[in-house]
Amino acid sequence: MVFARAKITLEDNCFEEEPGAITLRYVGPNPSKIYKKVHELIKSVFRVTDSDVQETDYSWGKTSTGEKFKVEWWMHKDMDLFSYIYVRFRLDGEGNDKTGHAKLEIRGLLRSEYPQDTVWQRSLFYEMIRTFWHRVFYHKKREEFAEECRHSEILVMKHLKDFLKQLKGDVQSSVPENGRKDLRDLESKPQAKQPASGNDNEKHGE
Amino acid sequence: MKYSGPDPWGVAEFLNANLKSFFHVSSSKVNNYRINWDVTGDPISFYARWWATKEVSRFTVLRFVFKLVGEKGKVNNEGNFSLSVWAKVITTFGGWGPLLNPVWTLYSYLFYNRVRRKYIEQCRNYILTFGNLVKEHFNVESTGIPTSRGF
Repeated sequence: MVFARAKITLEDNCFEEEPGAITLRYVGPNPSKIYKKVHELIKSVFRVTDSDVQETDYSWGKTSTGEKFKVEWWMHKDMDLFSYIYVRFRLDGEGNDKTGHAKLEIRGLLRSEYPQDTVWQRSLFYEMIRTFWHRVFYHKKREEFAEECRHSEILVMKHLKDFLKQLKGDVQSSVPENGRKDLRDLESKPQAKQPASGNDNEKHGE
Repeated sequence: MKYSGPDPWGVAEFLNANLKSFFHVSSSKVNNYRINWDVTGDPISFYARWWATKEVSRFTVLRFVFKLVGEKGKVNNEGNFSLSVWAKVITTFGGWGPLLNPVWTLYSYLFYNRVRRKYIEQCRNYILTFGNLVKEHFNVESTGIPTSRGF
């Protein structure tokens, strides 16, 4: 980010068409566990530190039926001296360990800033050179940054979908004991011979 | 940060108990300078403010202001609160005459601005970590302890 009092700012959506946001909705158990996962994904996918992620809103309520939450993060990542991506994550939901729902919305912005502090930076000659340089070289660079922003957003969504499958899987593993017994009976039949890894999973499940 | 559930006033007790040790400062650097407590109705409503000052170098201090607004039931001690935190990095160069102003400008441009950026990051980390401690105190979902280059 440019450290200047006065600056020109160019801002674009990472996803160019409106709405520049992508949304994921989830209905299932343990929606509150998504909170921690999303925060980890922001850091790992965008490769940023904790202080690059600002939690601007955090509301958490405990009720008799479960937990209700609403969280908003803004993530800032410097791409080079002039550009950074600025992504908003909005997560809200409610539920308990049996049922619930959650929604995650991601909206990414690409910003470029040129300093305008000194007399030289405000001069016509400087502006002509800057504009020329921007059109010839930097425009393409910004498109690459926007593409990286889009890729990262989609990657967060993909990882999150995998995690949501696991969340739903937790419920499937907690079926009643006689249900598990039926399953074991079925698996012990010759045609249901499982590979070694499958047996390992079963041991872990028990 | 907003919370609703049991023992909302617990956050004020938590702040009073932990601000000094968290920022590693003496009593004179922390102040609970306002408490409003309204017991006329049910729920009880409360309002409190704190500031804490952390010196990070000869010229710079970090200043944190906490504002708490909430209410709790007289019977079941349940309610809600909203805790806001503001933080500032304040740099003061005292005793520099007008003739030395350009020296200071050059010094800050070449060196001190970069140091201040680190302090800003450190300041953010303080807020994040303290927020996490509050979340853990109320047993709601929290993130990991921040580890960043500025802390």
